[in-house]
Amino acid sequence: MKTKAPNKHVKTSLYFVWPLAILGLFLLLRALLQGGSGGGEVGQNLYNLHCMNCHQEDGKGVRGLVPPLAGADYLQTQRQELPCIIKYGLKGKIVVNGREFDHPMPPNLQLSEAQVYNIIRYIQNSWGNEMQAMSLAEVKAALRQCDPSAAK
Amino acid sequence: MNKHFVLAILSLVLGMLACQTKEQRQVKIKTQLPVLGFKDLNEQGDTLYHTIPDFAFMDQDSMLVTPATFEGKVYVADFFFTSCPTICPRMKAQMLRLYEHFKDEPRVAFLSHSIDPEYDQVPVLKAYAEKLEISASRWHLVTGDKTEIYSIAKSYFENAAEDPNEPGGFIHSGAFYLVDTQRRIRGYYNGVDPAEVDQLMADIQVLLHEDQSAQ
Repeated sequence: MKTKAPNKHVKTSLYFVWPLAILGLFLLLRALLQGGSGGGEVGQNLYNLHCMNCHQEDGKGVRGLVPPLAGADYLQTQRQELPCIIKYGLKGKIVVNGREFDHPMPPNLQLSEAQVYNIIRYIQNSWGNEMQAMSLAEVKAALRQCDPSAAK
Repeated sequence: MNKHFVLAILSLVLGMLACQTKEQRQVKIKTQLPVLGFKDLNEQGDTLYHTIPDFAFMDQDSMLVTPATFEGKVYVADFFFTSCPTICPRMKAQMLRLYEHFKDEPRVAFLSHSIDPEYDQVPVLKAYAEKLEISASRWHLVTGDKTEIYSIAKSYFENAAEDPNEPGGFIHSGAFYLVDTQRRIRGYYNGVDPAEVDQLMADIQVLLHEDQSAQ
């Protein structure tokens, strides 16, 4: 024979469950509506933290100072260089979409291989960019080539 | 059951409100702007406001920029350096929005002080201005005596300093300062926040209107 006391306890806890459930549903819907882009939220957060100051939220860069990433031919032509550029920066003249740029890009030495990979994925799938995805193995191999501590 | 329903609706409404206030920050339409800084009284009992003291800096076209350069104009001032790896490009992108917005308004000018004047000599500023496609007649990038620049920064209440631990070697706030025709600071804004720069845009109009009615 069971007593009725535990049942009463269950009933009062519903006061907390209901609002939480609704709120949870609401947040889930929000996340589903916003997280539609292919790059993933992790890549976007990393981009916002390490790249957005210069390349801007819309990936268009800043006039002749910072080259665009959105629709940039450079992402295709220098595909293999991307991991090293993101991690070790860039100096000297480059040409992007026919325009010359010559402002140094600072290194981001704190980034791990996985973080570089996530950033590339985000850039490759944002602002209308549709590029052949770079695999984590490709990123690792590229970074090994330009790692100054491993140079012989 | 009724109580559950009320609580559920309440949490939903609160949740939505919380999300909305974060995303929708609207520009406040003001009728007047405060005068910032310490105030004093002279012997006649008139209020003396904090003003930007005299200065003389060199811009990207090797022209000497002084308060006379901004006579009859309101201007937006900031502090930056060309080799800045962090927030400067973002500040410059926002300043460019203002620059374009007021391109047909000769009473609005821009003044960017380099806090690394030893490296940012005139040719470096010239190259930087060309990359930004800006004209020295409206937007002055200036260099000069280091002590004078850091001292003028203080008059804007700007916290600029050399700091070897920072990326690039310098710290500064990223703020935009709005200065009126009488060299008084009328507002400061986060120069990397588009919403605050929208507010600055609206506040510049208030100042322009103020000068018009004063004439």
